[in-house]
Amino acid sequence: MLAHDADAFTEFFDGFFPRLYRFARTRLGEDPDTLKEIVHVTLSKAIRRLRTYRGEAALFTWLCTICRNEISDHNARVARERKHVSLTEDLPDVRAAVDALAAPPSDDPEHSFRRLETARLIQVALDQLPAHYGNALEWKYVYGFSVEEIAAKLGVGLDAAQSVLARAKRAFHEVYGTLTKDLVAANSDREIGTQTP
Amino acid sequence: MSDDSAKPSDPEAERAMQSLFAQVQPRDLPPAADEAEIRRALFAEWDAITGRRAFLRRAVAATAAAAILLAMFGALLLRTGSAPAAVVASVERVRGDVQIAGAAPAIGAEVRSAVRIDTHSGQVALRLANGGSMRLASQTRVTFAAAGRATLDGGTLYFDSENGAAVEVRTPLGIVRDMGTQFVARLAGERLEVAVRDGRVAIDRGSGAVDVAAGERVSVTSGAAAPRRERSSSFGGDWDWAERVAPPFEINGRPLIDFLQWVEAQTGRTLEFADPNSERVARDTVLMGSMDLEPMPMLAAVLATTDLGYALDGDRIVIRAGK
Repeated sequence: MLAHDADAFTEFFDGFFPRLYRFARTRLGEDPDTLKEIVHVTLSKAIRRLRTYRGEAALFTWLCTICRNEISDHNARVARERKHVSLTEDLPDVRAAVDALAAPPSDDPEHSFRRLETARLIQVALDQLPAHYGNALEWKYVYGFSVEEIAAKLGVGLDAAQSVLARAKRAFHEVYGTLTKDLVAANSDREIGTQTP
Repeated sequence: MSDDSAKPSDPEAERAMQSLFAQVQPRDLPPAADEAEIRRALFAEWDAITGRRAFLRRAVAATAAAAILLAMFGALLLRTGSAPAAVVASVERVRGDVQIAGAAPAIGAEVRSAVRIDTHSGQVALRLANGGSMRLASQTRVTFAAAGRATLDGGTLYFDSENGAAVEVRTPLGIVRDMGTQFVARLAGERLEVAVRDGRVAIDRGSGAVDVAAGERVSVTSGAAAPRRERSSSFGGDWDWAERVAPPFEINGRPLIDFLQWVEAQTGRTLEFADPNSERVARDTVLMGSMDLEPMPMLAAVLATTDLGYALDGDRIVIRAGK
């Protein structure tokens, strides 16, 4: 990219923009203008600092670090401008009444949360993988494409696609395993608990 | 040989993967418009940083376009044997489906009096013969009687008097006259809205004039109801579309401060320097090259080639040292 190769720019943008956008959205919520601004500034800074990138961390990790700093600066700016607001539900009496409400056991919000969190972490893990690994796994297990279709999408032969999938699965397990260490432990505790008569 | 090659998967491991992914939705894709906008801006920035300039390519293209226009003009004169109607404006930027006299205009095309401009789903920026900048939003229909006299039949126009050019916009609900200003006029059915960013505007309704000051939006209707006044921000909302279709700014050989002041004028934000040294750098730096982007992406791209950076703080653009 530093050698002014337009294909390298396209590969950089196509490979990282969607992943960085999702990374920022998770942390910024659904404010589209701020989200666009932060992602743009992050990529812009990355391009300007590309000469200083030494490859000690994966490029996406490096981009995420820049993005985190931008989000942090943004939040600090917003906090400076935000007026202190007292919410009704924070008044001591109201809060005690709200805290006393118990949800019906059938709702099991913890279970719903863990299910959603698992799905989200799988998406995060896919984004952490090299783009073609994440895409190949998503095509296979989310969209249900055949290996032949995946081979066509990757522009490689059948054997090469099988090979990409195998390596992608190993990489996924490594990343996902790291991300979910705590979640898995919590799930195990719960499963043991539910087996008790 | 790698153990990865085309080996059938372990059925148990495969079932585990399918089970794990059972609740997973496809990852969301960013909005296509955002992606296109950021890609374009970043590409220009990268292009500027990695040193390539498109001077020659642009010069050749501009020369060729000028030659074609000259030839077309000569052919028209020969065919009609007389000079056409007065030129009231030229096209500085066009986006999407815009028609002038029933044809799609090219950059630099001349607009003549009495010719109908219909923007359909597109947008167009015009340089009036008297020096003012007029931009038309989509679904807008305008005809010029002269350089400073336009008739708005429907839709939204933006006018910037820049070097003091005046304009008079006729609508069925009154005549909008500027007094050295930036304003937007929107005609929708029986309602005319005028928002002013800088200077003053008068809406002449026959029975009397309604003044609109900077920071105000005034709506008038065809009935006898009194005009409605509201606050109008100097950026965003009413002005976004006009910012996106801003005519190009030639940076080559210009001081950075000129460019920054252009960004300030186009965006309606206030330019500030974090310290005296940043302002001195902006005055001393002379820009080289060419770039054609919307004002904010262009600000990022231009500053990337200098020792300055910027931050947005509410309605302020703060220029500071470093990135």
